[in-house]
Amino acid sequence: MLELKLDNVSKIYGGHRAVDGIEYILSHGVYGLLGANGAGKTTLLRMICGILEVTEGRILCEGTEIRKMGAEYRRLLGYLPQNFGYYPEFTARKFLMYLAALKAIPKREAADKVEELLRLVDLEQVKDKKVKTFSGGMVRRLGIAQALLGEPEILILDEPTAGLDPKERIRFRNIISALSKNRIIILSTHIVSDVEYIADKILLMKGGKLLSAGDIEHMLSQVRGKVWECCIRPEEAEAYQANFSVSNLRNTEQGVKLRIVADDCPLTDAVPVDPDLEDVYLYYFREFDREPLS
Amino acid sequence: MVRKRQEKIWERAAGMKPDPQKKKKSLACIEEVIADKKIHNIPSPAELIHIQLQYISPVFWLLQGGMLLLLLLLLYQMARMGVELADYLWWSSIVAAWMGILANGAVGRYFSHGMAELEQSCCINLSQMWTIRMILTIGVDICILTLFSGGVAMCTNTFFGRIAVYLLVPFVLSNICCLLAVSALRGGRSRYTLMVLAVLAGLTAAAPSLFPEIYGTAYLWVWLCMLVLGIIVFAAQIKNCYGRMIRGEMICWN
Repeated sequence: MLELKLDNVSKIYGGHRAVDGIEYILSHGVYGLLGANGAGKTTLLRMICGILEVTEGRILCEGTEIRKMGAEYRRLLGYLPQNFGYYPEFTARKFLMYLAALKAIPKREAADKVEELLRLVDLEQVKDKKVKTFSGGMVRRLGIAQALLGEPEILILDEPTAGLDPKERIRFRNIISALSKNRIIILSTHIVSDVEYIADKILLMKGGKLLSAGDIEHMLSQVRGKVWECCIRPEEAEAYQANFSVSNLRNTEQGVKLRIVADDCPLTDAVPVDPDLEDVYLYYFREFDREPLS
Repeated sequence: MVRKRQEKIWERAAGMKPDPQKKKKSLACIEEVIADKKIHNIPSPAELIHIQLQYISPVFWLLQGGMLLLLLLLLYQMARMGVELADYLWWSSIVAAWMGILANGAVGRYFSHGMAELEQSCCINLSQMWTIRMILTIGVDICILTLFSGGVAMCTNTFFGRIAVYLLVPFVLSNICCLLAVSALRGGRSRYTLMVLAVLAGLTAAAPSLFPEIYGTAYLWVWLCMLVLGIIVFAAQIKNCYGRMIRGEMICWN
């Protein structure tokens, strides 16, 4: 079973620690890397891909440092960068053939694989059109297809669903679920629903540090008893939003129904409810903790 | 003794028949191992060059062909007019400087479309492709300039090596300037920056022709020193870029 070990990994730019002493072991499964913008997710993924040098610590694949493995490690990789670019004059097919060549896939094998992947991401009809004519969602799908070239054992996807419509998101989730066997898949996002249904483990990053990691049940257990629902008058809604982490607000006939993430009961008639992953995210990334209102 | 025992074993084995179930199971095991075995393709240097040649932009080849054509036309026209060496060098130095910009512009293409990060993560990574493309584009340019130097040498009865030195100096210097722009400036990879650089390099390369005596044998050592120094600076620049690419500094701008 393939194992990737992050051994006290840090990245320091000037005096700023973009990634700060991350320790974790990844084995087969889908890992959802959640964090706000600027949390250090992309920097961490770039280091795992070997694109960015680690300032402190080591990244080990099967016990060997990835820098030392070189092409042998890159052969295991499939990567979709956050800022995914393309050569505008390339057609979708030529683009994938080009990347297949860079992944050292023999030409005949590559041609079959490219056709298969174009079908998988629903770009078969436009395979001979130039990528510069594609919509944002189509470019993203092309990015997902290229990441899957060469059947990588480590698949790293940075914000893979950015620009995809709901139908495409579901399609993407199904593709990832189908691929998750015998692979390490790391999926970075700040959209909770992207990972809620497919991730085996969730990693929460904030300020370059790994705040919490575990399976969904473990994450949910951490905020159980800290998610509340209450009904308030419409004129009070603004004050509550300013003072609490409100994960949902809904206007009903009885008033405004709030879902609040707080350590203590925010209102005497608030009732605790079952948390979901969005509540977990909000709990860790909330900007304030206030005393309960009377 | 041993031989007799071996013969006995063979005799017994001849009468034995393999268990079909066990045989099937063993074959299934072998097939499974074969299916799991990943056969890796390791491209040879020739294949790497072929990949590069396949995906170099046609615009680059068109511009490169245009430069060659321009040099040939200049050579033909000037030979007909029977002009002096300085006149040959005036125009050809400008073209040599443009060729340096074009070569590095083609290499800089890797960084201008947001592909660098992705390419660096591939089995044949950006650093390797960059090296191959540098060798290819600069190699083609040096061949063209060398052939042209031969032509000028024949037309002006001058030593071929001397002409080559005069033309390689603007070529190397423009390479240095362009690589500096491509590697150090975020906007240095844009088409407009390259066009401005081409104009400036052309003007600088044409400047020595205002003083034709500078092409005399007395100053040849100055040209030689400039060429050697230029090559050293360019090599150091390439080494620096290579290191920054491997560390990710030249790839991850944000």
